[in-house]
Amino acid sequence: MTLTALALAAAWISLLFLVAWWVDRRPGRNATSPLVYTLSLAVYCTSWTFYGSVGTAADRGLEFLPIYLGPTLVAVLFPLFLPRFIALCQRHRVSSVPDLLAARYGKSASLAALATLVAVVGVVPYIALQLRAVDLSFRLLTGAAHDSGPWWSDTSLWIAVVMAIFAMIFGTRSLQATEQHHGLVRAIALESLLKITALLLVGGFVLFSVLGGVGGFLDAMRAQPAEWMQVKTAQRGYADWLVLLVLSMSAVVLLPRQFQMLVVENDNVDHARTAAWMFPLYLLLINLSVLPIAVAGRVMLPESTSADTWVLAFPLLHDHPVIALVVFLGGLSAATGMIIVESTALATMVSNDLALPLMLRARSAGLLPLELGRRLLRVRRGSMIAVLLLGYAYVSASSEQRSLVSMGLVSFAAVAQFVPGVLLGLIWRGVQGRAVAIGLAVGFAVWAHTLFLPSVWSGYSVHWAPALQPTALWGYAGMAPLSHGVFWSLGLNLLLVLLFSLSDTREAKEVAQAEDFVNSMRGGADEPTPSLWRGGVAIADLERLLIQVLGAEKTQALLAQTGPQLQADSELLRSVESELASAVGSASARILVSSVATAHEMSQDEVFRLMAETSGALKMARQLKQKSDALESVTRELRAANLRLRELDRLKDDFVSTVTHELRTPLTSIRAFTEIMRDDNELDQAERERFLQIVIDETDRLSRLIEQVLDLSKLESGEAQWQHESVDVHEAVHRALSVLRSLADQRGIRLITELQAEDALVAGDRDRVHQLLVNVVANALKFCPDTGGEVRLRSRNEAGQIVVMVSDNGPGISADEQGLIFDRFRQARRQNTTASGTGLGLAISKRIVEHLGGRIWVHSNPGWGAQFSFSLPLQRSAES
Amino acid sequence: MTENATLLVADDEDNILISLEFLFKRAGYTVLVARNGREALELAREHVPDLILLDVMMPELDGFSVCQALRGEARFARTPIVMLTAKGRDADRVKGKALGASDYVIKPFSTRELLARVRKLLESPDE
Repeated sequence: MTLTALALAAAWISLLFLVAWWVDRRPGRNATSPLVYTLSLAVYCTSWTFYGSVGTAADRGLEFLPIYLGPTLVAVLFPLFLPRFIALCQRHRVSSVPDLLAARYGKSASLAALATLVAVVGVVPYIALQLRAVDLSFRLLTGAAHDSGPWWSDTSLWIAVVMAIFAMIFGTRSLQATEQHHGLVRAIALESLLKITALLLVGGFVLFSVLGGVGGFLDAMRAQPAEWMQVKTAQRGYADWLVLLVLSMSAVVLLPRQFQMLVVENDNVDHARTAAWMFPLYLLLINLSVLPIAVAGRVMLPESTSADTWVLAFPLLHDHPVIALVVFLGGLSAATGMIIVESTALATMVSNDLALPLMLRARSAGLLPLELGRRLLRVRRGSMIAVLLLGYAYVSASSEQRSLVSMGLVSFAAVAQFVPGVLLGLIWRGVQGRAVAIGLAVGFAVWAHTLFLPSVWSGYSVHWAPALQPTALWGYAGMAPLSHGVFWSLGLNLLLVLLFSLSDTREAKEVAQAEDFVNSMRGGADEPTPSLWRGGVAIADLERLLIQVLGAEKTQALLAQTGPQLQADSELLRSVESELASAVGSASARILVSSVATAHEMSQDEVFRLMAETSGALKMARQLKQKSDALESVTRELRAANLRLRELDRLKDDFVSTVTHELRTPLTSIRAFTEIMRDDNELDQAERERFLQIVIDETDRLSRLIEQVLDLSKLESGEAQWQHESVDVHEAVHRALSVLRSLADQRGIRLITELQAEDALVAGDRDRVHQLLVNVVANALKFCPDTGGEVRLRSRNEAGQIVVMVSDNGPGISADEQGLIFDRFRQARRQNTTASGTGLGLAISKRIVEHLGGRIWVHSNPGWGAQFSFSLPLQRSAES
Repeated sequence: MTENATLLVADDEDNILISLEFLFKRAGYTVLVARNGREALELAREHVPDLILLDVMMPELDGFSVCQALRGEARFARTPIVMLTAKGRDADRVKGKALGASDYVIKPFSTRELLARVRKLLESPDE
């Protein structure tokens, strides 16, 4: 069994390595898919999840869940903040959280160093957890007893060493920390698949084979004491859940390996949208097995076995070596993945933010150690070994009885110390680097005192100061140790950051970075930060520096873009700094550039002047943009107005053209007959009189037309004077009929009135109402047939209105014409009879009706006459 | 040709029609009158007049359409067609020419001039 397990473990890790190696060797086509990205985020699930969740659930029921609910909440918000955050970090060549803090707070080397210290020490218990889990599972699988032999027989030491070697192979092949490890990401994705498969497999095995199916599971659950599954019990409460939620929410973004996968390795910000649902789904699936195994363990396993090993215990107990091996591999895989990515991330921090600044400080400015790049790689490898040995030391020091999850939570609490500096720094310009450093240092100290030291040193206590007891600061003993430590460390941290940010003591470059970070997260445009270097550095110096860090090839590529010049300008210095930042972090990059450009760093005054100029220019650009946006919208409006005007102009042209036509028609007759009478001497008296009558009629028509055009234009322009009086519509009907009766009689047209409205009083102008009725009735008369013509006038009340209907038995109006009938001069085109209308009557009628608040419309079936109707609001209802 | 020529006059305005009929009859022509485009087309096909005067804006079928329809028939290929219009816009004049109108008279017109033009067109239709 031992040999099989070792061989399988070696084979599996070799496979991971081969995948990574093959992907990195493959030229191009290295873009990750959303699936791979999501699976790489699942590096979040380590031995903690694999073995520890059951351990927690066995003891404290659902308390294993908040560790996954927190990340789920954050993941759901990915689309809202992650793309901007990633873009911001990648633009600033940020390779870690300390790097992020340094970049945000004026490239402060001391803040970066402090943050690195916090990260390294903070993560040690987490590394230890993995070593402990692999050790436990290996010993359970092989049946080895816990060592009591010499140091070299300790399995966890060998596990730490082997893990360190793997990590070095995977993580330190290139110096460029922000250069993405495409192979590593694929290997982690594969690892995530194995661990979820193994856990689902063993969960299914326990559920169906050990518990006898879902029914058995439910029976076993029911048999447990109710308190087991309750959130609030005598020992714990909602506050503890809240603390776990906050810790896991910060951990899923700020843990070194999470930041590495989430931000540094991301090559497509759109993946955030997929991860937003797929990552929570992964977390849900991987937790499905926890409760069945936990409840089965409570029922069937002796209390002496550690619940952290139950996942592996069941297949072993039921003699399923294949499942046991798969579980062992899954757990090993979860631990290995975590350790490789975590130690890679930590090693980058240590080399960039601790070692390099120290190396640089140890030398006088201008003299750089030779082959800096190779040295840095050595530092990284060394720090990986160191981190794992620290983990081993922690395992050895901490009690065998300590649960896996309780070790991990100590690390979570350390990482949460980054929250004030990162979160506040992204949303509030005013947060200062000094304040963040103070808050972080105090938070870290309180964390070490309340959580870290008690966890490695069982007798840790402060006898001389009872008020500073690690589990009861200032005498508050009511909280669980974890919640207590988190409350004080994070609370003081936050308070100090806020307090020390109140008075602004920042230097210009910090203000500039703060502006950029906060703007970027608010979705502002990415304005490049101005260069804070003065030009004039010799290219040769710069080249020497670059070759040492980046190597000859990259240096040539970088300098080739600038063309032949002997001195670097400020822009070149800025891009050199940015390029160096991707290799050694922003804080060290600044130190490196200043080592060759020491006299060229701008003085405070110069920086302020530049800032003022730049921000002035930016402000002006922003104002210009606003102005141009405003102009654009005005232009759009003008264009629309112009279109409207053109349309109106066209309508006016049409109107003028039509009026011209209508005026010329009677003029044509008048002129023709006048000339005939002038030229024709043989006209008899009767003909002469007939022609003169035509001339007179046409002159009348002309005057009427001119009057109506003027009337219509008065109505349309609103210049018409309106009396406001009570008008009886029925009376107006009779008046109109008396005017038109003779005309009707001449043509033998019958006029029939059926006025049924009980109330005919409307408010309006009597003459206009009369004009309206004359127009409508005259129109009806005009279209009556020459024999048997009949015009019928009816009225009725309807919903506070009087409706008047005037129908004729003429030819009717086609549907097409009905819509146009109230347009000016429309009627002139359909009349086929005498030239008695001007074509404006209905247009004027429509204006009158509408001015009085009514409506006019026409019904007609061609061949069956036409009925014109209008409605006017009654005076009574208008007043009431 | 000039004497006893047959003229077709089409206009929807009664009084203009009366004046034109009277004018041309007095000048010695035979005059056919139509009150709309369709009637004009029917009369033209029935009687094949020597000259046709068409108002542009007529109900049923406007003068341009009548002109176009007639020009499409071989027997009217050389018949002088005079367009009468109260609009007088250049665009209309161009359109009339394009559709094959021989002349274009704007209302109100001088009767002497109209008679002169008709006479000229009857004598030498190709000019």
